[in-house]
Amino acid sequence: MNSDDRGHNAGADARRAGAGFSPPDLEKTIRRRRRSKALGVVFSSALALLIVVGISALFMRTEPEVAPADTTTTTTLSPETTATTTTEPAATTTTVAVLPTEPAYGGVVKVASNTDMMYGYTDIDGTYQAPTINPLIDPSNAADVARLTVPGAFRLDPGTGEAMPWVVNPIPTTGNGGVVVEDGKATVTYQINPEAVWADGTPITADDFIFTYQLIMNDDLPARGNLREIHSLIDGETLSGNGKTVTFQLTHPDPRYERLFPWLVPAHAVEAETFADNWNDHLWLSGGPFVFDNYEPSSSPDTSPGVIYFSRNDNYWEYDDSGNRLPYLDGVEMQVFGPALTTPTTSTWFGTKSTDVVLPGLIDPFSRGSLGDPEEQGFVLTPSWDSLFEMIGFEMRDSRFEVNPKSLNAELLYRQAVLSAIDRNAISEETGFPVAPSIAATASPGLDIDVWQQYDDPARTEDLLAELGDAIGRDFSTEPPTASYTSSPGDETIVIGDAAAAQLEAAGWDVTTEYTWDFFNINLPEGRNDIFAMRLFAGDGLADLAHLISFFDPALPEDEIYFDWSAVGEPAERYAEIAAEAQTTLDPNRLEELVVEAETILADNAIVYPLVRRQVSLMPYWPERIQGVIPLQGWNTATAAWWWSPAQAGDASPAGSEGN
Amino acid sequence: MGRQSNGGTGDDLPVVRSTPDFGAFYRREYAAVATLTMVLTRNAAAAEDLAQDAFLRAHRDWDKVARFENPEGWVRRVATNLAMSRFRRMRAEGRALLRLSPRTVVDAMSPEATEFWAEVRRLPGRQAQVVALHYVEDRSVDEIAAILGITSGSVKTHLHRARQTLASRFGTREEAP
Repeated sequence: MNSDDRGHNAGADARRAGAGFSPPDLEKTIRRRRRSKALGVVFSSALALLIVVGISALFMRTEPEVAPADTTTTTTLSPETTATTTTEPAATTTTVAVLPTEPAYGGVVKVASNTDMMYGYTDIDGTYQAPTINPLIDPSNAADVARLTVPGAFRLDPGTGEAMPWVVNPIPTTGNGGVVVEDGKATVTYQINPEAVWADGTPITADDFIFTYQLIMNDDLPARGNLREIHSLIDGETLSGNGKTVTFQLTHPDPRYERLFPWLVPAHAVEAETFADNWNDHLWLSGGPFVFDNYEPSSSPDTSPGVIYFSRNDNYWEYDDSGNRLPYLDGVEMQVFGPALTTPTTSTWFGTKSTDVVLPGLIDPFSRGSLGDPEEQGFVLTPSWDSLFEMIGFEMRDSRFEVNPKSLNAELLYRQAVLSAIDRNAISEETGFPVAPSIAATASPGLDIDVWQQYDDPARTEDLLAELGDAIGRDFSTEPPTASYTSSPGDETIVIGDAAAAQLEAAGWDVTTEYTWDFFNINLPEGRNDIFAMRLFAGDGLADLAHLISFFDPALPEDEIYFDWSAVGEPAERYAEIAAEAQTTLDPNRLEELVVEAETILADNAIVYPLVRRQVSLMPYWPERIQGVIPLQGWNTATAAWWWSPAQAGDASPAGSEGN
Repeated sequence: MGRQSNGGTGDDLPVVRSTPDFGAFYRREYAAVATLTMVLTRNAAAAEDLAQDAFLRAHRDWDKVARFENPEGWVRRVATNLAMSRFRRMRAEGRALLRLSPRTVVDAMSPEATEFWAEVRRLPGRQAQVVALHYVEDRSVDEIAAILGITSGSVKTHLHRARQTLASRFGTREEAP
């Protein structure tokens, strides 16, 4: 059979399969997406992941590091190391010039961006937007580009996921008096960095915060749903300010107050009336390290990008640790592609050095082969991890008996035996994904909760089963335990599921597996199996963890609950109390206590089990061309003020770059 | 009456072209568009999201889209472009993760078809789009060119290269169509 016949047969097969699609009510579709946004408060991180990611490598980073240069002809560059990235072994290139080893001024870098300027966007609320780089309208699409010029109240520390000062300094907390709770009302006070100015020299003031809030909450403007959702925490009637001070009350205490104002708009330079239409292909007055110059669209953006040109903001107000004015670079050329750009095309673009770095989102890790060998070619390939993780859980409802009448999920010893039998370290080796040490640590790498290690001992399985057998009067050597395992049939989930099933079988189980696209629509909500596997976004930091706790809350209303383990009894009741308190706790110390207690309950009662973290993309870069880029999904350009180019470094510093 | 009027009753009033019914368009085209996105994504849930995205766009701009010469082609172009975007697929899959509502059960394809479309998804984006439109919908070269907004010659080139690649992967000889 030739490929044409094969194609026609496969096409007919697809048509038969596709005949099962029926159009959902479009209005309901829109409403459902809006509702899922509201439901997804627990997933604020899943959504916020795309708009709010931290930066603090600039606070905790090592200096862009260049190994001592060979004084003859070979320069060896070592990639930088950060708390959040893993890098390939040092790349070696042969050059004639001896490149600088410390950040230096000068140069323009070319950056391939995930920003799509071709087809616009349809977000979770189901509304269509034109292609735009306006981050208030479409932050997930515009972030890479807009972050070069648009500052925010805060940055997130990628090492901990917590908010760090930017325009607002310090981050207000209950500890420093920036947040005061009285009679159940929380009042937040911002102190704006006294040096923060827009590119025209106008100070960034309370007026800009109030104006930005009004833009976001204006029903006539298409601000994106999750920006509006989080800013609905502000009681608008109380928002006021004067000069460098802003104050407002929260509608209710919520730890996500730290994530307010991730973008700021200059009140004196932008008109609200034209805001929705005026800023789709250029950006307003900068308050960031660069200023927008111009945008040259491409006629064939799926193969050749449009380019957005930025140059140094000579009035940028931040300094490096040595007191040198930032940014280091003279300019940035952001390359924006169309939606049909493929990994091989991107790889070719990068391989010909048409770009200096490909930001995450364009290189599919499963197609990495098209990039070639980093060591041979001299580039660095940095994985982009985010807080996505794979986990398994136990179905506790009676519906599980329809698939596995012998399900023993109600028995704690049984659940513990299953978790002990599943070797997540082996799964990590098989998938190449690192073990998720805990749910909390996945969102907040600095938060180490040692509660799951009790299951990292497969040898315990036999003892646990023996103890269970004694307790329920069953001899597992003659009547093996049975398990039905289900997940969606993604490439990675199948690998993980097969590995887990094989491990259970090796420990004496009879296992059936079911991988189906209806996992999220039928198997999980209806409880068709007794072990399920899925992936979740943990989010960033304690604020998101507070809401992630809700995902496992067995006391949620019936139409919001994801899985119901209330049959476990008292631990489930306590968990529900924790979840409720965590939603309204502003004290980070108390919040950490709640997060730790919640995960301890999940672990000790073997309710779920975090397995491995997921890699979402890869970031290749030419180390002689650019240093200092830290891949942070959704906010990759947040470190642009600290980027520098060894190959383009000049002798002279730009005017005004001397220490402050 | 065969035509619509602007409210008058006499045949002497000017003919006003009505806007075609979006609902009918949606019901008629949805399954076919979702099938296209399914073969290009392999993920039925994501495919439905992408198809719905495309129709939401058509709905939003229906006054304009309805007057296009080929709104059916327009919505296919948008949907297949969306499907070829890795980033958008990831987002759609993320949405699928969040959605727990009942939805259509899609029959599994045969192993041979599954294998074929898996190879198609490895093709460069434009080639995959052309192959999907050609084999799933039996579209002619000219029709595909109109849908994707490229020349017929370009379609032929993409189709030829795709067939060559697929033939080599399946260990068969590419024959002239």
